[in-house]
Amino acid sequence: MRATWIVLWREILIRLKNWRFWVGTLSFPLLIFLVTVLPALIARFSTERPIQVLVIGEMPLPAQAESFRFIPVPGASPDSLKTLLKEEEEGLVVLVLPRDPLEGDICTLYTAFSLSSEKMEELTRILTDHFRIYRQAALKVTSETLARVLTPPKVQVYKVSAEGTTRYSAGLATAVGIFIGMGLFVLLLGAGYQILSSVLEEKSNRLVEYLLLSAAPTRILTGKVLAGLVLSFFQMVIWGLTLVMGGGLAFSGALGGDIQRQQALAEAVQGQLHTIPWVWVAVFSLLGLMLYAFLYAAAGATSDSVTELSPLSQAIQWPLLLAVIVLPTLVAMGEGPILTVLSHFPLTSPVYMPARLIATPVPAWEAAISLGILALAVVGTERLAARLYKHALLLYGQKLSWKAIWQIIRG
Amino acid sequence: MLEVQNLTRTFQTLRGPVRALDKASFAIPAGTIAGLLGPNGSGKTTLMRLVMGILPPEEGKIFFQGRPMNEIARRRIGYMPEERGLYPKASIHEQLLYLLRLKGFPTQDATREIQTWGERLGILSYIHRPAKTLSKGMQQKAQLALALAGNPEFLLLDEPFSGLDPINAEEVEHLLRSLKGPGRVILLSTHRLEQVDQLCEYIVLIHRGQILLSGYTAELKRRYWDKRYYIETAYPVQQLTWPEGASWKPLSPDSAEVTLSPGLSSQELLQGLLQQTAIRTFYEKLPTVKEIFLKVVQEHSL
Repeated sequence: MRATWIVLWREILIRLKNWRFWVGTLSFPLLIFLVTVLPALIARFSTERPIQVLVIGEMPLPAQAESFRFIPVPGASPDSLKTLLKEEEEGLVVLVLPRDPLEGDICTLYTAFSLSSEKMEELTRILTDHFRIYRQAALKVTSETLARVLTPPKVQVYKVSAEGTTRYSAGLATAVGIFIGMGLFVLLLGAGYQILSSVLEEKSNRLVEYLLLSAAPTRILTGKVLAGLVLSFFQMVIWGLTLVMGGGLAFSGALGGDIQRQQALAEAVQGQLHTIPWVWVAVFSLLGLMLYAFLYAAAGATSDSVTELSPLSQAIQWPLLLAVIVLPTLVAMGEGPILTVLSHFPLTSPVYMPARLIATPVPAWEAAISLGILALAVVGTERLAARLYKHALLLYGQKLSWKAIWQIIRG
Repeated sequence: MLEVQNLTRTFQTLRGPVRALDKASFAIPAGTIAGLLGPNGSGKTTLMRLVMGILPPEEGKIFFQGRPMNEIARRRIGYMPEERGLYPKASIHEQLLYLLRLKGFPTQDATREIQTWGERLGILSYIHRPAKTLSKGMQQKAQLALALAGNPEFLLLDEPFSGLDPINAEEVEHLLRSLKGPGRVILLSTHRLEQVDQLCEYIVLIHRGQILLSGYTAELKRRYWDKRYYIETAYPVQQLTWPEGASWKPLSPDSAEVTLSPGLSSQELLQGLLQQTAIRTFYEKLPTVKEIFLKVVQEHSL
């Protein structure tokens, strides 16, 4: 284990010292920052004057809301107020509300300048909220009644089979399956390349012989694979946090100050999250990652330049991508032989077994068998990669033909 | 003592199985510097890899100081592979520290060893520079420091002189001599046979995977000596009458190399020549390692 730890630590340090790693890691958060946070910050610290809205109508609006100041002018005629707009360059608009807000829906806005889409969305949101409050009060509808009226029906699917009736939840299963598949894919994009390039470097500078004298090839490769995964996971965490923060900002902006809706949404998400078998998801994801990472290491050992790695790495990614692409269809079709086989096949089980576990009650022994097959595949791939690493690099020092690879595997 | 018994290894290649080593046996006594000689592709590197345990043997056993090689701690073995290299972007210090820790040295010990051998090999002035900025000779010395760290009892050096200029080669040779000590075995492979002649007290000659010859250099020289003598006379050698059974070739007007037939002794030669001239120098001319190497390889290539 000491050798694995030394290799792991070195690989991490080498990458952390490389500016390219930081460019790759921080470019995405920077992009998110530019797209979401920056406009919000600019808006917050801008000294822009609120837009003054002259309101013709009976429905009460707040004196100040977000970027607007509402000034009621109930008796005025739109034509007389429109003349004011010519005198003011910006910052003054005229809003004509329907005579009867219970019946009418059309609000007319007169302006001498162009309002941005954000300002228009803001104004529409303010009007929507106040129309609802006004109509609720006028019609004497309580909030509870309204919520009950607006709550959509939920469809719960139960699958009837010879074994009995079981609940089937395809939507969440598909979402989690895709999330795992894409997560693995993104993690492997970073980790896979690092593992490949690290193996190739030692192959090209012939250090492998000394390394093999000092430690077993499985230990060296495990160190490399774990380092790749740790760094890739670190990147994922940074990107995930950025997405959560950026997405949260964008979402709360879309919901405006509607605390009730935000709470309802948070409760709905939490209600779904507790149905996910997190331990199974974590174990399948981790083993799936290791399986693919060792495949990358094996690919690195059989090539002699980075350019040759491209077709090989694509070939490794295909099972994962295909699994994600056909997942929605297969999960929607429900339990069947294809889904069962794919949830036991090591290259696809990290995506399909967690999806099945969410969709329908799968017996624990079946999940355990799938996990066992996956674990055996990880160990087998580790051995295969180590064998290729040792023999291909030591004996030939060049690109290997399929026949030669087969001979090495056979020993 | 390093003892190799019936070491055999076959590789599966695209053209079928190739026996890289065939029942190789030899024993190198402790306290000696031994040379492993052989033409390209003769099995030297395979033999070294098997001895180091990088490759498992098909058959055979390897013992060091009476114990199976696989029971010997890695730290007691120093190895410099032929196909050597370094991480190009990392500094020499950084990679020596990494590789020594990987070999089992605690960080403190590894740092101390780097300092000791860095000083002895004269690499401290550039030890913090990336390997890619250094000459091949400088890099080779760094690799040598890696092999020597921990003062190993068994030192295995595959082509330690390749790529070195004469001054650096001389330095390395001097260093190897200074490392010779009781209990230590130094085995090196090289194509520079004149260096083996000067440095190695023991030689192992390998050809087509088979050990053709092994033993103390002095003994082998005596065994392959073909009754050749060097002679320097007061009278021009061209004008002397040489006894029957003496074939000679002039080296200068008054010196020659003489080879005697089995029926002619050196005393008879001297008696015959002393009647004609005074003899200034006369000694047995033993074959060089290169001559033995060429003779044995040619014999087995026929």
